[in-house]
Amino acid sequence: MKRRPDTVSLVLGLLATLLAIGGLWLSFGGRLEWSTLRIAAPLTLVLIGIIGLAASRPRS
Amino acid sequence: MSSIWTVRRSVTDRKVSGLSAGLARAWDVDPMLVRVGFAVLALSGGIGLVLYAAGWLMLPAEDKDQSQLEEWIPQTRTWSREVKIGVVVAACIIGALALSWLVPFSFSAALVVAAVWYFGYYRNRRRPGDRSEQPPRLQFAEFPGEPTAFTEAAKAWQQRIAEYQEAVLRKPTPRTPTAAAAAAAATTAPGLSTPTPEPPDDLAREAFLAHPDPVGLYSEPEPDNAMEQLAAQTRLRRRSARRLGLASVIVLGLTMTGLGVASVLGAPITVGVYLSAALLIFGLTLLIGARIGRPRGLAFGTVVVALAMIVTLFAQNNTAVAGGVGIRHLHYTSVAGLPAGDHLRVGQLTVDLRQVNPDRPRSYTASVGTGRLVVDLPAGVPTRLNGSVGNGMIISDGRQLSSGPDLSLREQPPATAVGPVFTVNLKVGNGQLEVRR
Repeated sequence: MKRRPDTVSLVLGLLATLLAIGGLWLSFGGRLEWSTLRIAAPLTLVLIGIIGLAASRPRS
Repeated sequence: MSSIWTVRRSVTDRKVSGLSAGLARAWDVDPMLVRVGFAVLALSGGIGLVLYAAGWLMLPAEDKDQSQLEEWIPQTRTWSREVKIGVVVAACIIGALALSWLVPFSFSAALVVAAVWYFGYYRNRRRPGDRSEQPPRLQFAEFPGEPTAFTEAAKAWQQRIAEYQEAVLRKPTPRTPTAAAAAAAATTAPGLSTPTPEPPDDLAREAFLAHPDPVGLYSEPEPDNAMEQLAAQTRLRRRSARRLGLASVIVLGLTMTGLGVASVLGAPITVGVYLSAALLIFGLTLLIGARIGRPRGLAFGTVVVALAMIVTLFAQNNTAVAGGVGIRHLHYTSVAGLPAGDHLRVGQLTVDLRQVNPDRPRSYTASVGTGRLVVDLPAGVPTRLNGSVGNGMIISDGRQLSSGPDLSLREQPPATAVGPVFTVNLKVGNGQLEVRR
């Protein structure tokens, strides 16, 4: 039987990885435009949520 | 000593919540000592207050099955003990930082209390196997109905347990050879019988106790292969998670070392870089752990590092988030590098325009949603100033011009001025606008 991935780890790992990349980008002098962020951040959360739902769906 | 998680708050000896009395009963000490300890800890960075609040919230009272926290937030029933301990530690740190200006002592008092508790009580406590403390005898209830095979088996076990307990209680306590010899002489004196029965033979007792079913009531269940496989998979997953955790620690150490070396060599490595790198490693470890097993405590550590990273990035001056939150200092030395405008949502924005000298008419807008906007205007440049404040005050060259709602500041270049006009628009929603020349 193929084991299902741990949804909590998956979602938290994705969030942490994206947040860390953003933090590194800012720390090394990059700019993050608010106009971009206010669109990209919610979309990213929706995407991660969909991935989490897909990972936790029951399998027969 | 029993676990802290088995402590129940007292309802009979209650001064505030009964926590001190409950702890004192569990530790077998005077409740006043525990109360004094909490008071000293409260003066030591406020830790006592946080610990008391945590105990009140997380330990149930004697007459209840659930803690206050579980009653108010039922989702916390699923929290593991590690998570609860982590929350308490984080609350202690935050509380100590918040109350450090108020309480007189530093952490030293807390260390003293911890040392007194450890060396004065914990190390000298009675161990579970301490012979000086005899276990209480078990009392069995009699079944009033007709005897059955099960009650007969139960009676046999009760009798065997009573015999075993009797044998344990009769084991001689360590005595001096002289006392032992005197006791032996007394029992073997002529004309005196020896009423104390010999303890059962150890080998026979162990053989009986080793028998799983002395009266033949039960049969050994067939081994469940599915359960064995599941248990094997769980063991394998835990082992993989442990290995992954160790590997991530190694990678984390190597990364931190590399960043430290780069910092020594002159690279601009800030605290935000360290925290971001650590968060990246934690995140990747979680992604791998989603497949092979998550190391214990990694999720909690990831959340803590993420919060620390966010706070650090926002606390740094000159945050690069346009229109974000924080303190920004902008210094423009030429018209070429001057943008159309700068905006900060919350915080302080300082713009230095003193070296800007436009060669053609030019406008610039700076705005702050809530906070303070400070602008240094160029000298000798014809400047048209349009300032507005929704609610707050306007300061010009150190003088407060106006305060209250709907403020405005208008200045036109002198009629005798020569050269292109530099138009500066300044807006503050709520806060302070300061113009300097």
